[in-house]
Amino acid sequence: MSRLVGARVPRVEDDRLLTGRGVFVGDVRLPGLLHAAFVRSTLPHARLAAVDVTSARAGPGVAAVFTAADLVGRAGEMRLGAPPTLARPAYRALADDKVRFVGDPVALVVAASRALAEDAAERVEVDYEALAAVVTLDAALDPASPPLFDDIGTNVLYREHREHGDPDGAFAHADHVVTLTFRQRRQANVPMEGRGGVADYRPATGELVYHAAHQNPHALHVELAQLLDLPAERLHVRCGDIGGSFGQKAYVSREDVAVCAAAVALGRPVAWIEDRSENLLAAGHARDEELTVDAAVTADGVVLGLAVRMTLDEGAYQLSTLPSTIVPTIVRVLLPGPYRIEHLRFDATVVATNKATYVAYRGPWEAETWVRERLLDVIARRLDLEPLEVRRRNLLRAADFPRRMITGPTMESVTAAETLEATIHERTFARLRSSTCPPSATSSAPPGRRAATSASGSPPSSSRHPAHPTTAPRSAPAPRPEAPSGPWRASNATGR
Amino acid sequence: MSSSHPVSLRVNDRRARADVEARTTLADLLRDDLGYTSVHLGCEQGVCGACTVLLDGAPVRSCLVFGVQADGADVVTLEGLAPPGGLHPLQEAFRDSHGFQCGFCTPGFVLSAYALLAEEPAPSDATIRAALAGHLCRCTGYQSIVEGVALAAARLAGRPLPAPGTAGRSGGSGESGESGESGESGGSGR
Repeated sequence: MSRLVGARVPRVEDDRLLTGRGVFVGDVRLPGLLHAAFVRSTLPHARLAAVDVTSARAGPGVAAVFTAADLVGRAGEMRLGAPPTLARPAYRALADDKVRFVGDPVALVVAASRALAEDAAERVEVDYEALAAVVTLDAALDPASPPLFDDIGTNVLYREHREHGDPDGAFAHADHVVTLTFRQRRQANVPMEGRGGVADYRPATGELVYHAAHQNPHALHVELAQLLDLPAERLHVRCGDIGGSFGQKAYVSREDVAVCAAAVALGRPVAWIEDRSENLLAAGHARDEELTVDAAVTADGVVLGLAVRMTLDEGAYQLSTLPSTIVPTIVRVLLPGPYRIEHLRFDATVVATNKATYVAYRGPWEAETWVRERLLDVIARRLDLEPLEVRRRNLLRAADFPRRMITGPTMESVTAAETLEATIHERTFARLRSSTCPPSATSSAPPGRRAATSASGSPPSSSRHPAHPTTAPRSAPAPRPEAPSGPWRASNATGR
Repeated sequence: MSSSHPVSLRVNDRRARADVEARTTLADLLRDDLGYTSVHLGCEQGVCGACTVLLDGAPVRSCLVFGVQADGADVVTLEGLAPPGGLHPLQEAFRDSHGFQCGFCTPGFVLSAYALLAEEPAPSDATIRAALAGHLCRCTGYQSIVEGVALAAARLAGRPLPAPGTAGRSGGSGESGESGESGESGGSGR
């Protein structure tokens, strides 16, 4: 233990990466290797009237061009297995009847080089019948919008209502209700190396070796074997050096399936090395979600309970191995954090839109931290309290643990309150504040001293709770807070 | 198919030849025709810097140079920096400062840092940052990379930067390699 903790430990891969001897997926060289390029949708939502690959097939160096029809019988339908409460549309590796986002793979060209494959891809003619694109949360929630998947019939794929404790009671006892909406826009993971795979099919033995840039090789193995209808022992997934993933290379991509099926069909190895344009379009995006939070608080700044409505935009095609519902679930479970929050109502909605798939990214549920801490800052400002003091009044202390969270898990040895005090003790807090806040704005109350909480100290918008508190937080036009200003400026729109 | 053009160049002090299309980039020539796979393609549009090589001593993005433009040139890729069986002082410093994690961007960073130290043996942090501004890294946050370059400069303490493929002292070029074959077997990539 002591040999490693705090020590600089050389990594076994360092020397090969430093001398240019790493082997990333794009470095895999095989005899007879062919190269793949995808034809991708240029429209966000359209019916595929016709895909004409005649000219592309005649292109120089072209070994084959595959459409969805060509992969029937070679690559199975992709569909999440669970949970049953989530509508789970089935889809194909290549778009068949419709395209559902800009970048949706429509055809796969395999040629002697990537350049020749791209040349031929430009000769594929796609006849689209454009449909209205569903892009915003409001459009996705609108029953009048065209459904992405006709058999599902709606773009609202999941709704869940959960209550922990007695949220109605908490709001009934609240002096104030503070309401805030948090919107996280899409973010791209952007690993330095895009996705990619080299499918090496050996007809003589019926074995497929798939060299992949992947962070989850076992799930890839299980899923690919099923989709390609290969016995598990005939499929070998190999991962070498990987140029970053950040959550993006954790799933079975439709491109993985198409490339493997093409290699099996051709009996030759096929490489697909995603370029940056494909990566930004089609490899998935993260964090497209909105949370509206009502906080029931006392005049002293004690948070009695929360009511949360979270809507997640999962894009067009669900990951076939990981339901997006795991994100609102974890946000709900973790939301109370190290605070004494006893009552929680949580409504989660997942919608489909004409955008790339929602994928994980560096703690995909981190909205729970942002929402909770930002909310405490706004509560402090509304009540004219020190943000630090609001945290002191709500944090659990070491003596409170072990403690079962209202959402289920038991927390042990959590020292958030003690850590916070230690930070202040070491004066870093004051230094941080002086570096981020204008001096005039930080002088209202010293840390540790309670500030005024009189009615006059509260902005008019943080009014006392209306007459029927059990329903008001959800139906009353909860006032939005004033535009953030002063020492605790932060933007709801960008989060960072 | 477009016609091909013969290209002769030196890569890591070895002669190399290839026939390439006019549109073939130096990056693809080095990777696909000559086997120098340390040349990493992160964007193919001159943004990320991962494909940086030394072209007649200057760092260039090999995705923005055509292969035919390198005819007659002297190219250094990351494979050619270390002395046989060892590491260049810059590579040692990157290792010791944990100046990388996944290693995909590393070839470009190391070669640009080499070009910097060849010109300026004791750069300030600001100078190091300016010299590396054309490179993107998603793992480190850059701090440990800047520290790695500063560490290499400090360890060299004004001594000449060892030339690619040499252990230093003379500052001259390394022992001349055998002339490489043209085509796919010509590289020393792996």
